[in-house]
Amino acid sequence: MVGERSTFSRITAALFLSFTYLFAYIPIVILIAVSFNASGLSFSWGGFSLKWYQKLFSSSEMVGVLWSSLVIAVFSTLLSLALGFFVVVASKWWHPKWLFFLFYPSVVLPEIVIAVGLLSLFVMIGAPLGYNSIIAGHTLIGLGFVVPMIRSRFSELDPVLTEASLDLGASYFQTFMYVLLPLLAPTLLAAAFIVFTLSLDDFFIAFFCSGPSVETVSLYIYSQVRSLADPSINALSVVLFAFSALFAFLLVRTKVMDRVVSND
Amino acid sequence: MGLLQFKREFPFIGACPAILWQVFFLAVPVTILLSISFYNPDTGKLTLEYYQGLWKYPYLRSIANSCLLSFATVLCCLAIAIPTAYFIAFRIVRHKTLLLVLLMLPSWTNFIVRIYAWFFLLEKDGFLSVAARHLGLLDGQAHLLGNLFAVLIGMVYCYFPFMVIPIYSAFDGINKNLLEAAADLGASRFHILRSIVFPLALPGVFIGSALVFLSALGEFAVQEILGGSKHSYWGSVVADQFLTFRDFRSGAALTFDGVLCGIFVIACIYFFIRGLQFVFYLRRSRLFRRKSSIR
Repeated sequence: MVGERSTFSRITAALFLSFTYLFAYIPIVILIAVSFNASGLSFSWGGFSLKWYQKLFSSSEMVGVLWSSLVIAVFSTLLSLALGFFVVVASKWWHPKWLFFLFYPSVVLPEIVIAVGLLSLFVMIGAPLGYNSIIAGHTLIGLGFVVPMIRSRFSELDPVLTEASLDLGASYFQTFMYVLLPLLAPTLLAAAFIVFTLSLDDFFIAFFCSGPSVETVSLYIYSQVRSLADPSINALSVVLFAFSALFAFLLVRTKVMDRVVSND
Repeated sequence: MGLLQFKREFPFIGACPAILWQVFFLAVPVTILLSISFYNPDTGKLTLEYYQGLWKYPYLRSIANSCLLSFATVLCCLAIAIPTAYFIAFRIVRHKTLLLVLLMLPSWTNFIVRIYAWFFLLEKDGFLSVAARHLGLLDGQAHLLGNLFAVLIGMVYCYFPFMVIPIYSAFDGINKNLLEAAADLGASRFHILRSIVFPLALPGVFIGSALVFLSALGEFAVQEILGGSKHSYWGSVVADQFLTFRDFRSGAALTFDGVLCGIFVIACIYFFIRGLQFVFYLRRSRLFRRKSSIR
């Protein structure tokens, strides 16, 4: 284990990792390939074509669905970042014992329980289901990720900086905004990417809490999968994957993920 | 409240929105679910009738199906994730983060898209079917879809990245000096694996298993798309109760039935892992006791 690098163990490692990554990527690669196939969902290559993307972006229904999902994702991200940042940073001065236990269940509970609970809540108080209900749910899930991330990074910060800022006369608010926010910015960025992706990808909360008026990408594809014929769904899937890939690329480039992974 | 007091109490005020959010959107809904499942509005009394109404074979079967499927998913994910995490933690020198991000990337795609990708791959005239035909492995069409195999593949595909990260963290957190010391003291590779690496990774294994199990328990989209709704699963029955039959009370009762079963299984896993740890440390503590008798 230490110091040994036999060829056998090298080959085993390489083989197994290749198998794992192949398993992870083959479906997506094929999805992407077929989305550029002129002959649509069949496997005979009909030539490279962008027509499914044209069809996707000219269909007002699909563009509307994509837009809804993006709007929900943006609002959920902003809300969960704002709420999470303030609660973590404020916890340095005010931290009752139960404070962070509030945030664990949203990750531990099965998402269906949260979705069903939210549905019951909205029905009980008579609130109409729609954008707001989905954003509420996504922010909840997002907080479950944002809070631990910011918390671990915050605990690593040198407390001298905050103390100095307060000693020099800045108010709490000024300290939060002008000292701590810039210091925590990389973590906030990583958390933003993660919550945004989570929101775009989410199915359960949207399934239960969307009203008749809102349809997210997940719901749209779910309803279309059964009556399969439309290859522009492939194009839609690839567009979503492109978003995730872009974020992942940015995360790695800005070296933000290094810190996140080593803290996890 | 004057401005000065506002400024002084700002940490409390700053923390409030998030706390209120969690209370209102997490604690309150769960309380509502709990309370409506015990209360009959017609008679105005506390009752167990909604729970009793669920004590029937179809409902219990659906919970059992979900538990079994989720457990199978956990086992398959472990089989993939433990070696993967091990190899990335100990065999890869550079680009560890890149590899991890690459592994997580498919899980950052839309959930339904992931399932749809396998649906596409496995369907009657799909890629694997056509490839198998071309390679001469099959004559007719392969019925890869609509069975448990497809559902399991879909589940594992959706959840195994979430198993890798905690296990990788556990491996990564092992003090390398321990390994070096063991090697210096003459331990074989296998011995080091068995007595140092494996026991120290067990907490990560537990966290990953618990996470995957609980998430997979509420799953119903994978089963419906890839499995053709042959069996009923807890998630889809809950969805039916809430959305089709509009029976919120039975739905809430069923939700808690499922959650209790989930907690029960997680507790079993927890005690199993504790047992494993006990076995490992027991052996070493015996050695210690024997050595300390030589004074």
